[in-house]
Amino acid sequence: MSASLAADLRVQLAGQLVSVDQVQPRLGLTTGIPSIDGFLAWGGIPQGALSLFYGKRGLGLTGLWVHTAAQVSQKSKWVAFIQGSRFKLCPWLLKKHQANFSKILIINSPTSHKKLLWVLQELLEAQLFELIGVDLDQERLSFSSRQSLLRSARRSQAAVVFLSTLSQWLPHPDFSLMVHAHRHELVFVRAWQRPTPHSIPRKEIYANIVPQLFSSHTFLPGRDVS
Amino acid sequence: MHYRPPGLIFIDVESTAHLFGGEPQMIKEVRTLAKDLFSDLQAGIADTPWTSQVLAQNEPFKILPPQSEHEYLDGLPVHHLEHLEGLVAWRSRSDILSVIDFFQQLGFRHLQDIRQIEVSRLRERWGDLGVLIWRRLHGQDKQVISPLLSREALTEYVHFDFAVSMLPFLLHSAESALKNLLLRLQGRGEFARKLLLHIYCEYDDQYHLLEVTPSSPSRNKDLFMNLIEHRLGQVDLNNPVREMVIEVVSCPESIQQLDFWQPRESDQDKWQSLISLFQQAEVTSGFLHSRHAILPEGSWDLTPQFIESDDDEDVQIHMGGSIQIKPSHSHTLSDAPRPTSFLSQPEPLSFSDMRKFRFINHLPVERLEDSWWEESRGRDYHVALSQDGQMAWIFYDHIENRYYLQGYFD
Repeated sequence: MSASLAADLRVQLAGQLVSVDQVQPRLGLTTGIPSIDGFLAWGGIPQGALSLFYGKRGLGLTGLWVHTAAQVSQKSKWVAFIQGSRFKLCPWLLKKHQANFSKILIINSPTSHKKLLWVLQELLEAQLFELIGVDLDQERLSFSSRQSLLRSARRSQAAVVFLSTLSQWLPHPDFSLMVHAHRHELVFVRAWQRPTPHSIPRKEIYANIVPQLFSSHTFLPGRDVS
Repeated sequence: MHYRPPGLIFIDVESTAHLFGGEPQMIKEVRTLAKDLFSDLQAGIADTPWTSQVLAQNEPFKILPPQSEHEYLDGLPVHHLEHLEGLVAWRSRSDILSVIDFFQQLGFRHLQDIRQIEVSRLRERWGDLGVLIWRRLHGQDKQVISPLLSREALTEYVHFDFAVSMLPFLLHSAESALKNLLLRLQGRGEFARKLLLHIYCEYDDQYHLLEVTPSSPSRNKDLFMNLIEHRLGQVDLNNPVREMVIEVVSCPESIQQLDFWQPRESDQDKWQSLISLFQQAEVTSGFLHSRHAILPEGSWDLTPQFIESDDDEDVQIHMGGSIQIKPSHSHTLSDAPRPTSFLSQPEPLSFSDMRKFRFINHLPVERLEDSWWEESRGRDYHVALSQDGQMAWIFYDHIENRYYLQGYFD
């Protein structure tokens, strides 16, 4: 864009332009990882919106959700998680992050996709939860389902995070935040009003999740390490 | 309190009227409370149950001053003898009507005239009935309102003039019946543990039983309506419904200290409602609760109520001279790495699967062993990295001599 054109635009939009410090960020739930919270416009996972974390298991995406959930529950806010059919949420990481278990509701995997959507809809309509996680595993969401869930999420102002092990998702405006986990990095494929794609190293997540793997000694638990 | 069907309730208010600010206030309160349930309510306060019954029918909502019963009854026409019953009805209605007819033919106009007749005369002519008439007119019949609680079945019956197959219509009828039942429960100080819906369908001429069970005993109408709606939604209503009987299985009320400033619908109501709803749809949900088990997959389960865990220490059970130790798997938790998602059933790994992983440490990060006679096995846990960068939790089973995938550090 040429300087003269920019100047013209500035004149035309003079009444509508605001400075950076006047921009009101939308509500977000902090993940506790500074490089992620600092990048996102919401300062964390957006509330009243759908987010998608996708990639193979074992790349740190569920841990990212767990970290956020622990922080939300510590503030005595409610969190729900719908587990997948094969994998269950392991509570040790929640305990490690001192999550408040009395504010975390876990729902076992429903037997059908339709039931899963019904359970999620009920959770949103209860207007109780700040953060809801859903382990989709290999399932996809239809356009109509996403639209319906988005409307419910906006009404309840809950942050809904879908965790998927499928690697192929096209960026879509229904998801305010899309994060793809790769071997060495997390790529922000879509983030509202932020330049994407943006990547951060995966080790920044694991530093909080598995710090003992970064320590120098090996041990057998059950015996005191002195 | 005493209930005499069909629709008479006698309440002893001698010691409780002052709680309402007096008898007039009490009558007013009764009218307000019963307005939604009974549009044709009549009430009266008198010294004796039979006089209050006559008063309610003759001059509804009147309060008779104490010890003015005889004066009031004396002025009533003879035909009011029919309603002079109280807790115990006349044994035969035709007998009392014939007595009334007899006195009317003799020209007796008021009950005062009958009251002047001696008891022996009445006994001679009508036997026990005559004696009872004399006693009630003179206020000498003994009728005691028992303080015992009512034990009638908590059942409401809904009949449809035509067979119904529309869910909203069924729900509307069920709601009014349910409201009555829940009010009766409130009066008894009980909660509903379960609802049984007996639905009579027209085509197959049979009763079908549907159960509705909340996650915990409740008197919440919205919760039950929600559960009934979802339950009836699963039923094929092409076989239309002709009758419905709603039965409540009750349990005693648990006493809870309510905070005055507490909102009417608390978070507890919401999550209990959700858990009940999911339970009905055969979806398990709840709060994570630790169990004392050696194996990771058995260490946690879901409970419908949150239970505080005190599982950081091993449990010691003293049996005579011996001690049995149940180890807590979360012991020294802070030092042990744990995956974020784990398989409830570990998956065996083949040789080709194992080639895709590289162990981070030569030595296992954790060893689990229990008594050989217990179900657990010896396991050595390793943290492994796959070619795609996935961090997995794999264990080597010493008994089966193979590797298993337990979870991922996801």
